[in-house]
Amino acid sequence: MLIKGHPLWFYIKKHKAHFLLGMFFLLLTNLVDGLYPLVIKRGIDQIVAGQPFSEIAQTAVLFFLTMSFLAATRYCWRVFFGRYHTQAAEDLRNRIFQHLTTMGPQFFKKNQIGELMSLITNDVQSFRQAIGSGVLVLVDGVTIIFIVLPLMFWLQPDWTLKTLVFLPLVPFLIWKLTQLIFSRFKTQQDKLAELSGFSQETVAGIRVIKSFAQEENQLKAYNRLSLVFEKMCNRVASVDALFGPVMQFGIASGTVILLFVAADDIVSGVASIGTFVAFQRYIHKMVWPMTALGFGVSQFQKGMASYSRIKDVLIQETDIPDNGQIEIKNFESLEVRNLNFQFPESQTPALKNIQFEIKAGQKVGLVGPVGSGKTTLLHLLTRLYPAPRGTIWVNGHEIQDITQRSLRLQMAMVPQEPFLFSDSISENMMLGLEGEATAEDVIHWAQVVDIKNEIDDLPHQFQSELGERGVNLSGGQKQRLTIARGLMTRAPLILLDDSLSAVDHKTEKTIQAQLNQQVGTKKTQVIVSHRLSAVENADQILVLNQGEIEAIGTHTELIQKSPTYRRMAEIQGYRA
Amino acid sequence: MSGTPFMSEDQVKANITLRELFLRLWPYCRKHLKLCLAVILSVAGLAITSRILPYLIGYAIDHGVQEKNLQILKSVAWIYLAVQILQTLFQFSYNYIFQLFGNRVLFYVREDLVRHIQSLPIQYFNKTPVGRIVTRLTNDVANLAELFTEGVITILVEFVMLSSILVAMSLISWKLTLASMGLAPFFIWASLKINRRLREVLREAKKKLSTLNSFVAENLNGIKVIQLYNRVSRNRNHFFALSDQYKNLTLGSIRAYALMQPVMNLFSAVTISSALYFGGYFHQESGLAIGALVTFILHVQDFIPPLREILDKYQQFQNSLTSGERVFHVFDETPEIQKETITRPSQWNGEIEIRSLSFQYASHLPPVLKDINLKIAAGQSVALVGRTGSGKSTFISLLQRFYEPPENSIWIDGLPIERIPFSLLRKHIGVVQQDNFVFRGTIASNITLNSEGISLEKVEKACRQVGYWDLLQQSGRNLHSPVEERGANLSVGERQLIAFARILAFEPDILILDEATANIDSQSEKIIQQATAEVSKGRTSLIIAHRLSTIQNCDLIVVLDQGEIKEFGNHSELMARHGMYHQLASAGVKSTEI
Repeated sequence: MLIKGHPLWFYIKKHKAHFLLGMFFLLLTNLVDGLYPLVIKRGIDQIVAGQPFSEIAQTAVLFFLTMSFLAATRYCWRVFFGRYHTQAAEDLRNRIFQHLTTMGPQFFKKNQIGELMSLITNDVQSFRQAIGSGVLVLVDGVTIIFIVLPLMFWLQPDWTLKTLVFLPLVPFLIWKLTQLIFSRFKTQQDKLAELSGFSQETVAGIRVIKSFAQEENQLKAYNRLSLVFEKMCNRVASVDALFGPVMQFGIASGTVILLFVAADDIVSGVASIGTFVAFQRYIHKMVWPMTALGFGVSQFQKGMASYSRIKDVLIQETDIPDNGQIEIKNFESLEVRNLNFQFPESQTPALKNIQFEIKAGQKVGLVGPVGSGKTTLLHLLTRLYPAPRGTIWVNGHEIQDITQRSLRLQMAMVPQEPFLFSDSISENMMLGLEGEATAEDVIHWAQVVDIKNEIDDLPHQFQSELGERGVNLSGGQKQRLTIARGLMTRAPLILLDDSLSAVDHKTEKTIQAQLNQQVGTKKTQVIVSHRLSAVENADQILVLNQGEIEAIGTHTELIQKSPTYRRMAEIQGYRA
Repeated sequence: MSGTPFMSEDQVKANITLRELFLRLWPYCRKHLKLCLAVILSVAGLAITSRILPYLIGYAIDHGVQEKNLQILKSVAWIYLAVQILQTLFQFSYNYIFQLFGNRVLFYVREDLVRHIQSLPIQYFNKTPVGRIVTRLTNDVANLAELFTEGVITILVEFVMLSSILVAMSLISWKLTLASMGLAPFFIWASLKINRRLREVLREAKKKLSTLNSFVAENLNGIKVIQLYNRVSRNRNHFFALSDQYKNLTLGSIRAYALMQPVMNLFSAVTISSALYFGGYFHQESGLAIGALVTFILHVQDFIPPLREILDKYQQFQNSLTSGERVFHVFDETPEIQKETITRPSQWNGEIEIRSLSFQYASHLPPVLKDINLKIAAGQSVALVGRTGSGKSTFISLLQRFYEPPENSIWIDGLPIERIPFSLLRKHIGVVQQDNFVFRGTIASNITLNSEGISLEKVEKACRQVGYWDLLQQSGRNLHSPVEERGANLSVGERQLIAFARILAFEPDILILDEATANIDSQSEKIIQQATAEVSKGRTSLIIAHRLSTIQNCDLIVVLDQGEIKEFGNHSELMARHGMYHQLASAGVKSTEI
């Protein structure tokens, strides 16, 4: 996925035709654009010399044709050049997305999603500007200099040096101003982020603010931040307002000097009025390349900084590579042998010496205090986290040797936090299916998790959209939907990670009864729960404590031999 | 109010008129007439100096070069230098003051918007996602300001520039002006056309980009599910398709944009060649001076940039109009209604009386509360018990007047609550919610909520009373320890304790406590139990209780079922009755909660 070599060459090579055509038309444009002041000069000199009107008319037509030609070439370079950098941006965007979707959940713990998002939106855009308009502006600027400067020398060599003496200051000033505005803009953005953060909190915490009648205080605090932000904006403005005058300075100083320098030559007849007018145009033309050098370099630098951020992500390899060759068909057994696991950023192991076996058709409970390693274990079993070699075996194969697709077709895990997509309820339920499910199927599983009646009350029932622009479900409703989604996959092994924590006691019981009836021994179940009622009838219950298996056994056995289990049972009202 | 809350925001087309926009923003501008005036003066200065410069060149040619007078040429050069410096100064001051002005207006708009949003009823926040309101306060306000400064003002300013150029040209020769500018309307029309096309493509592209972004956000947030449920390759293909559509729209906008410049080029080609053509003709026929002709051509060349600016800004303008409209929609939301006949109780005791209170959220929805009658003496503690949806939360929201109860149905200290001012009412009712919002700042600022009247000593005392002080000391923190956004560095229990300490700091007469159901470890559980007893001491307390121990400690238990009071009494009375309470309480034995 990583791009070899410099990304600029890579994309120029990849879109050679569009890039070269764009460049060709750009050169043609600059060349003709360099010549047009000469046409004006010809016209004025003809008028001054009192030549016949037909000659003047000819020049006017020539001028019009030149400009029309320019219009056409300008259109062409923009379109061709646009194709080159737009396609490059698409390619880079796709690479990033493809790469991100191979990464395991650990990667997303380390990297904030907001920052990864900004790679795809902001950084790709800024890279596009670097290899697009950044490169373009530089090429444009340089070619204009190489075309206009010789023409000026050819027209009046001694005027040229004198009028352009201040011009090299322009790129320097622009560059300085760009740097200055960049750093000031950054502080401004920081202040804006603070202000936005404060707005966010004001809205999210509005109940507290209203409950304690603190609206005035909150407004005062907001205004303080708002005022600081305004000051920062003004600081940016003071630099921003200088750009115009600086560019103007190039043209103005040139023209003033021209007036002084040209006076003698024109009066003495060495140079014509037409030459004077054309020359003033050329001074005009030289200002843009000078500005362009300043802009182009900073734009290119910014884009390359963006690219290096992108590269930092692309270069990281996934911790769960899908290199396995073995396809498993029917789940038979899952065996864990001497499994130790430690998070890279942590000092202590998350799991120590875990050993157990699950046979098809069993119901297995997994209990233990918060932080004992239950979720980590489930993540290892489903290969979201990388297990060490030789520790987890499915159907007698090491988990790393099994293709991820076939592995996950065998196991459906329902994660702790219910995550649903902004799609319809039925689409969300069918997420894990490769084909479609019948409407009856969807309704059936909604009944199993006891949510059908609530869905029926929604404006569009199973077609109701979820998410920001759709209906908002409660935590318990979301959990039940994700369980239905897991059950619908028809995977023979289902793993529920405390999936009913937000559901009230009564509903939980109803669902458990339904599950036992519907799933029973047809599926192998691994159930993580804080409520012992969910696991008390399991074939075996694993008690985890600080990353170790404290005991394995049935409910009655564990009350005898596991202190952790016994304490949980006591709190929850079981009699020993 | 916006009629279609679920409609995609980018699809809404703005129908706001220029006039309306101006009228809405004028009050903010009026606050700074001085800056406004300074902008106008700078613009006038800029326009005048910009027209004098070409005139000087023409004068130099006609009187210096033609008459071979070196002296005139030299003095013109000096004058040129002076005017040029003036022009540069005007340009800077216009740019700068103009932005100062815009930033100030923006400040006022922001202030007003925050004030307004805070005054909106709680229903507004229930139906509007937080993200959307925050967007109004940030992006949309920024766009609105841009709309005003970059849009309205720039267009006006550039219009002044254009008019000054036309006047200067006509002063040289109105015939030549007419001849060379004859085709201007056609070109302006053409570029408006292209501009509209460009705008449409850009709008489409923006829409596609936001679809693409939300797709990425969802896929990254739900990466586990995507991987567990074998969606990776299908979702990649979906992304590639979106990405390709976005690319095509971008290319479309590039093509439309690429057409813009040539149109302007042609426009300048036509004007300059006709100036040359007719200028040459007038020079021979009616003796138009050559210097004047050069001046004329220089003017013509200055005509294009402001025109382009207007067209560019006009487009931006259209894009930000939707933002402006959205902000105005928020302003149009009605704030909480304050009745005119407001009074204040002569004395706050915390006595509550409910007289046949019935409530429904909207006329087409079933009633949530039905004929509730209840009298709570000052200082009494009352447990509200019932299943989810029994009306407990609604009851409590009504007490805080987050919803409008029917008149004369809720009385506090002998007054119906609709006659007590909001701020007064809410100052006397303290609330501890299930999930208590904490703000970024310090522990102290979260307890005082930045209220200046509460001393640090009082905060410390409150912390000691609820048992938070020891916890802080044990973990080596103090009142000034930072609290991260959303209290990310605090446990659920700690957030609860902060909310308790708030109550003790604000000393309300009435306490509303929505007990948390979340599982917390047994040590925090114990601290919270004690804190609950501490804060309800000496206050009228209404507790939505889930823990049997909390319920047992209350003076009165009210069992709500489907909006009605089913039973009430104390624990032993209700248990003896073997009714609904008994049922709920026994079911809760195994799960430790009801």
